[in-house]
Formats: sequence, structure tokens, C-alpha cells
Amino acid sequence: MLLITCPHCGPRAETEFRNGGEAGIVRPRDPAALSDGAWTGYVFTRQNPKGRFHERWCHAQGCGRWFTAVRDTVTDRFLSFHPAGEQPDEAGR
Amino acid sequence: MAERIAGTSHLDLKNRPSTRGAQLRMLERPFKAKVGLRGGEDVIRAVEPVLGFALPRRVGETGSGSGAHAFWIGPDDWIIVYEPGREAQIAQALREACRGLHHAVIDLSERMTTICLEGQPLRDVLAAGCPLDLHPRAFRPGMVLQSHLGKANVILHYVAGNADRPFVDLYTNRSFADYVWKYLENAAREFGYEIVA
Ligand SMILES: [Zn+2]
Repeated sequence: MLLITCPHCGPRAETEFRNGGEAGIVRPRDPAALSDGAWTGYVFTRQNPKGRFHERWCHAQGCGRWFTAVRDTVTDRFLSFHPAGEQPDEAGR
Repeated sequence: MAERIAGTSHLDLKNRPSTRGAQLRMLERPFKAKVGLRGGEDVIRAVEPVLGFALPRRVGETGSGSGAHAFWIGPDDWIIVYEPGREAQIAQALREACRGLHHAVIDLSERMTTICLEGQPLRDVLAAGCPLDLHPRAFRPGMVLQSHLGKANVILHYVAGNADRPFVDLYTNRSFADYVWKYLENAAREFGYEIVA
């Protein structure tokens, strides 16, 4: 079981959380102006990196808040945790 | 007001058998008053004089005074718990204090029920389905934490007592009462439990 550090509650068991996929996906300002290809990209296309990955988590069975975590997909080790509105830097910190 | 029916009423707790050598006491207190409050710093300033005590600001903390407890639920989110019967009055007073502010006051009394647990094996019983650190060093009197028991969301309030005889109130959604009650009975079987009804 992974220990995940909620920015509000501290380290808790993975089972209290829900994964929300890649972080930092920006909704297009004018969806109607997008080509089908661009819309498909927004809705479905995600990175699947081997290594550092910025992803969203929700502390569903705790405080209920969404936050961003940086996780190494090879080792499953978490590198940093950020409350909503705070971005990890390029180094993932 | 419509007749209120406890979440475990169908289990007939009065006639439900306890086990021998019971070390854990369990009962349901279904109708405690629970009022949800959400808002920012302006809301905190507005409601604290009405409550008569400070709202908790960090995870695990509670605020208490004049028969009430406020549980920290999230950074702008609290549940305030009173003895049964005062929910409408409290909700009304909070709403009036928050008039004109961005806030939410919701009477949750019917949505949630309370299962009260008392006795030395309580931590082991909860640990059968709850991943929180329940060690006396980490989970202490006066604290409140949210987590899950099996699949059910729970709020655990360590009301009082010491490591030998802790009292914990478990809050869960009323519709989970059957699941949580049976989960606790099953986990408590090896220690023995007494149902109080
Ligand atoms: Zn949390």
C-alpha cells in the first residue's frame, strides 16, 4: 500500500484516495472552435511517461480535496505534493 | 415532523444477542444534531460568536463548548454536532450570522448516524477495516479523523477516556449503518461485544 501525503491531512493510506489522471490539462477556452482532432486530444490524449509524472489525486475518503502529486511511475515513489492552485516546478518539486 | 427511524432499526438491537465476555460496548445514537458549515475567513469570524468557541483550523482538531463539538472536515468545511433536537435552531442561527456572505449551512442530522464504541479493544476492532494510524500516540482524546471502515466513509471522534478505556463516536452515512454495524460486530467477535439499546 502506498502512503500518500494529502496537503491538508498529512500521510494517509492509498485506499482513502482516488486518482484523477494527468495534472495540468487546460480546458480549451472555445471548444466549438476546435477541430475534432484537437478536441480528441484534449479529451483523451495523455502522456504515459516512464518516470516523473504530474498527476491529480482526490482525498476522497478524507477531506475531499483535489491536489497535485509528482510520482515516479517506475519506482512508484512520490516526489512532491501540492495543494490546488500550486504548480510543481520543472524538477517536480 | 415525520417519524424518525434509526439506521439500525431493522436490526432490532434490543433483542440482538451480545457475545460472552464482552470487552467492547456498542450502541447507536441515530439522532444527534449535525450541521454542516462551509465558508472562508469572513464566515469563521461571523459564526464564532454564535457558537461561543473557535472553529478548528487543522486536520484532527475539534472545537468544543456548551455541549457542541465542531469537527474539522476540510480547509473551509466543518460539521458541528449537538445533542438531538437543536438542529433547526442552530442552523437558523448560523444562517443569520452568515447573511450576505459566501457560505453554506446544511442540516445533516438525517443523513448521518452515530455508532458509539467504548472499551479497550476498540483500536483493534476499527483497525480491521480502517487504515488510519490508531496508535494511542497518533489518535488521542479530543481528536477527529476521517477515513473509511471497509468501503464506508467514517468520521472517528475520540470523545474521551484513556488507552485502557477509550470512547469513540463513529459517524457514517445513515444508509451505511447496517454495513458498518455488522462490520464492527464481526471485527469485535474475537474480543466479545455488548450491544446497548
Ligand atoms: Zn485530505
